[in-house]
Amino acid sequence: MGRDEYVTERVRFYTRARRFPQMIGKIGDLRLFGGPYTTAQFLVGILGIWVLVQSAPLWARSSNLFLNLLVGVLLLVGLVRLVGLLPSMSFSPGLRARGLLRVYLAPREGTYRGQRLRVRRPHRLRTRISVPLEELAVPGSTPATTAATSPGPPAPSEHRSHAAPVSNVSALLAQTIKAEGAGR
Amino acid sequence: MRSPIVAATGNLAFTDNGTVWATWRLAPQAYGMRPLKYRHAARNAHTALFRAINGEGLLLGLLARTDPAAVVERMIEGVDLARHPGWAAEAEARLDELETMPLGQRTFWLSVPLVNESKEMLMAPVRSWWSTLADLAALPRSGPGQALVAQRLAQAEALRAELPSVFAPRPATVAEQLWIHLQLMQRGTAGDQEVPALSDGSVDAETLTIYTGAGLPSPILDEGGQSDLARKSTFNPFKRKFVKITDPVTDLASYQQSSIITGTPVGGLSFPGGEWLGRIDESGLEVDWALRFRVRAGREVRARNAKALRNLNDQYDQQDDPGLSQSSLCVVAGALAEYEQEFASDENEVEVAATTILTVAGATGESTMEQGRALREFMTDVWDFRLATEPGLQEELWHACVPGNPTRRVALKSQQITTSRAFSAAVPVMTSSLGDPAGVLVALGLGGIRVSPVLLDFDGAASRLHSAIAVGVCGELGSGKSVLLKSLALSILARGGQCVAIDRSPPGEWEQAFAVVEGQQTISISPDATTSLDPLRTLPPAAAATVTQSFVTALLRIPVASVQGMLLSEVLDPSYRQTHTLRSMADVVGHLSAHSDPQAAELGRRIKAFANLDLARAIFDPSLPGADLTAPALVVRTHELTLPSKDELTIRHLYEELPLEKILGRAIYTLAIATARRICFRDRSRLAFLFLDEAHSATISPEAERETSDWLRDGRKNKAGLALGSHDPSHDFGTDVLRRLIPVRVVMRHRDEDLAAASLKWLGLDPSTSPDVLDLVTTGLSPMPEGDQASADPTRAGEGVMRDLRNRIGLIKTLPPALPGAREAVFSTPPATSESQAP
Repeated sequence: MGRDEYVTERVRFYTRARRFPQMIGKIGDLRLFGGPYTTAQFLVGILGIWVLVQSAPLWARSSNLFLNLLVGVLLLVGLVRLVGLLPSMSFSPGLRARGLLRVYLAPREGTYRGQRLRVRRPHRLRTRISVPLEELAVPGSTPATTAATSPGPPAPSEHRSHAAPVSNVSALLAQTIKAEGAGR
Repeated sequence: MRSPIVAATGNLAFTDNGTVWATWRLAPQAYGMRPLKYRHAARNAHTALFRAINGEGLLLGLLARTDPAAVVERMIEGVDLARHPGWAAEAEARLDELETMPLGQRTFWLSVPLVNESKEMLMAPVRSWWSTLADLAALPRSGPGQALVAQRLAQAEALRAELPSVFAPRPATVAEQLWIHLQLMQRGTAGDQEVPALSDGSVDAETLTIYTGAGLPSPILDEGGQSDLARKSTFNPFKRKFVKITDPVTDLASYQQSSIITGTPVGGLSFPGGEWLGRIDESGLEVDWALRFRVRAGREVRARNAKALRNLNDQYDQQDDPGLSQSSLCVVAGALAEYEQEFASDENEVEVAATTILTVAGATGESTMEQGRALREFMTDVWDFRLATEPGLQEELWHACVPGNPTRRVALKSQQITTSRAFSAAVPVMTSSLGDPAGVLVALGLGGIRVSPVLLDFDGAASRLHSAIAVGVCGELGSGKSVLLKSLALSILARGGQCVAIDRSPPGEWEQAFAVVEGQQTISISPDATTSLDPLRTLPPAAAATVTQSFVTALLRIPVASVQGMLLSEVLDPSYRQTHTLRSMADVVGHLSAHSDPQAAELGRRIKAFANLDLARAIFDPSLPGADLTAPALVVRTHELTLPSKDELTIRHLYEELPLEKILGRAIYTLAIATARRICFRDRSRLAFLFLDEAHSATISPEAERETSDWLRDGRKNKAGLALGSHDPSHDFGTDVLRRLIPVRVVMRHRDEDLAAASLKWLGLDPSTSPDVLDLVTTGLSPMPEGDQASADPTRAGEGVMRDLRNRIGLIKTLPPALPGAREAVFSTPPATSESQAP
């Protein structure tokens, strides 16, 4: 194959062919004053009119109706212009706002398995293990008459360091250890 | 947010939303500096890859550590270390050295969600609801049934069969799926691991199933690394654009910043040259990339384009104003028409709508953000891409890189649209790695952001690739050419091979290099010779006759079929020599001189004229002990020989007037190469190499050139290799055929443009179409000291461009031996007082 067949080629992206700024310039046959507007501007404009009307007592302080109307229109135009400054195609403003909102709401400790990572204060684990009676027949120890219940919090005692079993459960454990030892 | 994967088996990942993802590992396309036809082939393979997938996919390019121990294992593979302790010591020393280097490679993974067909359309969601309910009720987990797994594996296999075979798509193992998750969590930290080796069959990968919570680690995700901040300090997400991912098992925290491509170059990119994803390592940063893409068939694309056209017409109406907005609509119209044209001209064309996520990671937030800034600058300055690094969306972008996760809104919104042909110009799945799976470690590949070992397997070259065993190295003086050849020789010797070197350097650099080898033998062709190269004393009788015949005919410049030639042949015949007890050249000369036949006496007298020369002692002095040709390392020092020039051999009157010394020089070269051939071709089980550092000395004589040509043709069958060094491959490596027969070619620094261009041509590159490679060879490789610099940067020594046995071309840095003694031995310029220089 000759070298000439490998000419340098120009390749392009066609994102703009399918995604381009959607502007609203008219409604039906009615041309919008000052338009066209971006969708965000249009929505903010509609919302702005509603908010301005609802909050009129707060800003329409003048007795002159014309002056009040002028203030209202200026506020609206300012707001719409401000929204128009948002870059429309680089990164979705909605996504950006969502991201920022999420980051402020996120727990400071981070999330673990999709949930807030809660670190509890130190606390004691109370156990409720039930063990069948016959399992407790440890040679050389007093046969238990009831099912072993929680031994409760181990009281700080000198016996803790002793090898001899002091409770039914520890007797059972000792038996198990012996059995394992014999098995080896 | 929870990981959606509930079970993984084979290369499948079952998710809690009913989708099953299949993952394959792709073998990258060799790219590097290969000629245009290979680059176009690699790009076409990518086009085919995108066209083979209909729907969604995730392509990952993840950097993976290479375990130095694994490299050393490749070095020692097939070598009996008990018999070759030298290679064991070298391997051990090399391991220590490799541990200090950033060894690694880019790994490529393709994950595709499998379509839920027929009853699975209903059953998959039901199963996922049930699994969610079971989890809520804390019921024991049950994995997918065997029938379902088998059905999905078959579905995945059918898809794999559609993928281009050049990528050798291999189903990922469960261990590899786990590795991907771990790597995404731990990148940039010390926890970075190599890709798990394939199972040796001890665990049945087909039946192994892991479940989320048991197998997959659960990282702690912290957007902006807020847990690092003091309790009451203010948090500014714009100054902390990263996500901190902590592995609860190791407690290692990886700070990752992901940027997303939001703007593409307006003028487009050129191909070749515009491989914006394949060449991401040129940023000098460790970047992992993820491509979330959706492939749409031409029919669907044209429907979407028609909708876009209607929309555009509406916009013309909405923006009925002759100003700027109208002209921007004209640009859109132009792009849409061009896009439509692409589909009209190729009916197989598909659309690739891809979100490119580039991630950098580090052990601190600051270092990560610094890398992120550099990456954005690189992508903008070099390729004209615009990247957005959004605060608050870092965790979401991280999730978008994980196979099994559905495509998120942030990824959908940032998709860049183009054709498969245009997208494939990014050549994402490429590699510039070189070399063989095992063998001698000769260099480090510098093509990627992490260095990769370059091994040469000469045994494999002979048996598997059916290629000649030969290496050619060219470069200017001091470029590191001899160091590479000597390092290669010492490695071959340490592995139990045999090496013969013809050393023309006055200080005897090869003698010094081989001094570390036990049983080394030096034959010095000089008046002070101590060992004899007399073929009648060193070679077996039959071989001795042939070699001596060609030596004497070259010496006396007589035709073999002449009367004297025939006479010589009779005298050299083994039985004749035995009868007349002719054991050495001196005996033959004496016998001929004293012969009653005047032709024989004349022949004897003519040989005697040469035998009386001081330089001929190593051939004709019977008092010298004969060389031991079984020695593992043999050096023939020829620095005192004078050789005829090309003109003296081709211009008749100059040829007629050649001085005796030059005739002797030429004949001795022929003798040395012929002797080396007998040594190296002797044992088919043992690799043996001849090293001709100054190859022009050998190839200048037609007899020696014929010997080297025969060597290249037949060497493979006898495990005999040839290594040539030179400044100018177009003249010094013999005939065109000889040059082309050398499979492994290395070009080192050449400041002279013409020589550099000739070297590149020999390498297989066209300097006119690869001006950047020409610049690299003239100024970029092991740069010379500049300005006030006293000496060149030692860390840049030994750089070169290599073409390997598989015709791949890439940038390398040669590795001298790791053992200190051997390393010292290979560096030339022996000290003047060296004992090795003593006669």
